[in-house]
Amino acid sequence: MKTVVAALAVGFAFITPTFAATPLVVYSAGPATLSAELARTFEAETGTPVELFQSTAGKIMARYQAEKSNPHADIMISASWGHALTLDAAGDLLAYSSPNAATVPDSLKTDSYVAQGAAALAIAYNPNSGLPAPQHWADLTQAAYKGQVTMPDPAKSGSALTLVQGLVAQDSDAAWSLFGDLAANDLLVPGANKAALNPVLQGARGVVFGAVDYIVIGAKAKGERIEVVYPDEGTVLAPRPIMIMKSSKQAEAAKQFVDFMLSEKGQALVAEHYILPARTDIEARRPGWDDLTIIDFDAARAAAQAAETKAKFAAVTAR
Amino acid sequence: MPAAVLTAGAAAGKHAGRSLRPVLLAAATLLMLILVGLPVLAILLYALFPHINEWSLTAPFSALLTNLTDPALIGATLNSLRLSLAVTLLSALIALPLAFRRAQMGVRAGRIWDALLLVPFLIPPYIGALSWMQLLQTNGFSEQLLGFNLTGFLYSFPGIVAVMALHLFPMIYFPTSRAFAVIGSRYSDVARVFGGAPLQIFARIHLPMILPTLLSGGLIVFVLSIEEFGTPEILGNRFGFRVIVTAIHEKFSDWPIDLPGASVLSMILILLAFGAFHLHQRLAQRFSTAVENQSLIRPSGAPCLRQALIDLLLFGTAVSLAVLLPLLTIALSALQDTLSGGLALSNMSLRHISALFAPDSATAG
Repeated sequence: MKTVVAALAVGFAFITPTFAATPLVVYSAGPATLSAELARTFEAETGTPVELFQSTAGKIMARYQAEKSNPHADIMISASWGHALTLDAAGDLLAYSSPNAATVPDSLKTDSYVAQGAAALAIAYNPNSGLPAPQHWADLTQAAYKGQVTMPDPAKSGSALTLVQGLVAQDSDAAWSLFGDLAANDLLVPGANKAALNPVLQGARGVVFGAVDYIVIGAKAKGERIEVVYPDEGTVLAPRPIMIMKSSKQAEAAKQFVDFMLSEKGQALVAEHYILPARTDIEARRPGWDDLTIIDFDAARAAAQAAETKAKFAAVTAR
Repeated sequence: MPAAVLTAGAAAGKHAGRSLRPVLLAAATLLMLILVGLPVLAILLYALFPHINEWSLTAPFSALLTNLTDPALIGATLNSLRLSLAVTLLSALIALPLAFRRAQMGVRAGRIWDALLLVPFLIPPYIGALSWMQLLQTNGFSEQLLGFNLTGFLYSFPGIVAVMALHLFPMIYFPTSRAFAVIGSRYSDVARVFGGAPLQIFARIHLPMILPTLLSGGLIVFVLSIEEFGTPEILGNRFGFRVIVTAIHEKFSDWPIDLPGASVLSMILILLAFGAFHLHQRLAQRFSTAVENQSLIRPSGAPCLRQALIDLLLFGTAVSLAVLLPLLTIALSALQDTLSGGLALSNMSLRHISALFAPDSATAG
């Protein structure tokens, strides 16, 4: 008798999931609270359950790569535009243009992926450090900032890589000598974005070169003493691509998710995290489209040279 | 009657135990194969067949050569070995005097120190390294309170070794203190009667007798150090110190993801751990000792005041460095309202602690 019951129980355990609605599997980078809120609100609006895998941009790509033979993800939200470029070139993305993307600038959408929002790269400094307020990227090579500057590692942070690519695209020689001078000024490249920001918040260093602005603005809103400066010679945007995987067996639900993300409600959630919403008609809770000088460069070409750029950066800033 | 029942029950249990043994062994082997064998197999397959993630066996062995000839890898491997050896040695140096003294201590005092020295096991290495950073870096807690920082030491090879050894030495302390206790004082009493000096007795009698235990403890510390990620990642990154584990992490922390490369490095790590285990087996056989007539008699009589003070100083220093300082730093960090506010009463808040119990805490980053 016992065995029969056990066998039935095991049998049911395998059968039941097929009766429930299949969840939409979303791999997401970026603020954990944002991903969770988006998933919850989407579930409430559509009744489609969402299975969320929340990690860093690199880790979600690693998981996707490892599962190549048996893909799970329907949707991926990365913090690095280069990821979408690469997957699109490999033919892994499902083409879809959301009707809600009408007011998304052309630079932030293609036929197969669209930005959820974007971060801008900035200088962040701790006003308690007693340093003069920096205005330009090159200011940080001055003697006053010696031993005071940190920068996220382009090998570990997609946004930092974008900044290096943008500055190099703008003026290659000037950019590389800038990084050389920063290194000579005792630049610290401790890891990804938080590793670069924390020493500045804690007072061990004074300035971040290339901070992800929404993280800093969020920290400031929580009472941290930190200021954001957008150099007027130009900075870059790090758009956050949302992608539907071609392997998805839930293409309709996935398209619904993209529509929701670009709806007013979805974009308002994005804006609440101080990320620049992709839609220009949604109010940003931070410096918006008109307040930033953006360096325009060929992201596809830069992505093709990413490995060389990272290697050169490592060589130029090596201690 | 009760005694008869007891014996019968014990006999039945013994019998059942005997017939169950092969079953349990098979179950344990199966479990080990699933829990340990499958992941290792996956790593091996990735290392040999770079496209196995697409169920394809194309380009076999191509990842091996490119990764094994990478000059950075040799440096990382040497760094890993150097770091683990240094951590093991320093851990033994810290643990041995403590363990030796622990074996001669009164029951109650010994238990208190043991309980305190269990605490490092509870501190995750990543958090531990962060707390040392917050304590000793420029404008860290030590500078804010006492006016000095140890930035130069912290971000150096000796700094990493010290932080890791202070976390891992209890792994050697606990087994060796038991080993010292088992030896008891008979041998040293005899030696003392024949005029042996304390240091001589320790080096010639005690140390050889606890050597097998020391080797096993050392092996555990070695393997734990070579596979540790947190401390080398946090402190080593600051001065370009790469070990195998941080190199593995780099392989999949950003695009292009290099799973085969990470697997090749993991194989090296597994081989190093196996090598250490093998060396340990050989050494342990060579130095195996047996204590006849184990004496578990507790040391009698109160120790003299001078000895008690030395013990207090010894254990007090160890506990302060390995337990109190990290815990205090973690507690102070948790109570800080903002990171930039520094150590000030006005910057103390329970915000972060109450946030743990908020409904969204599971997903809050």
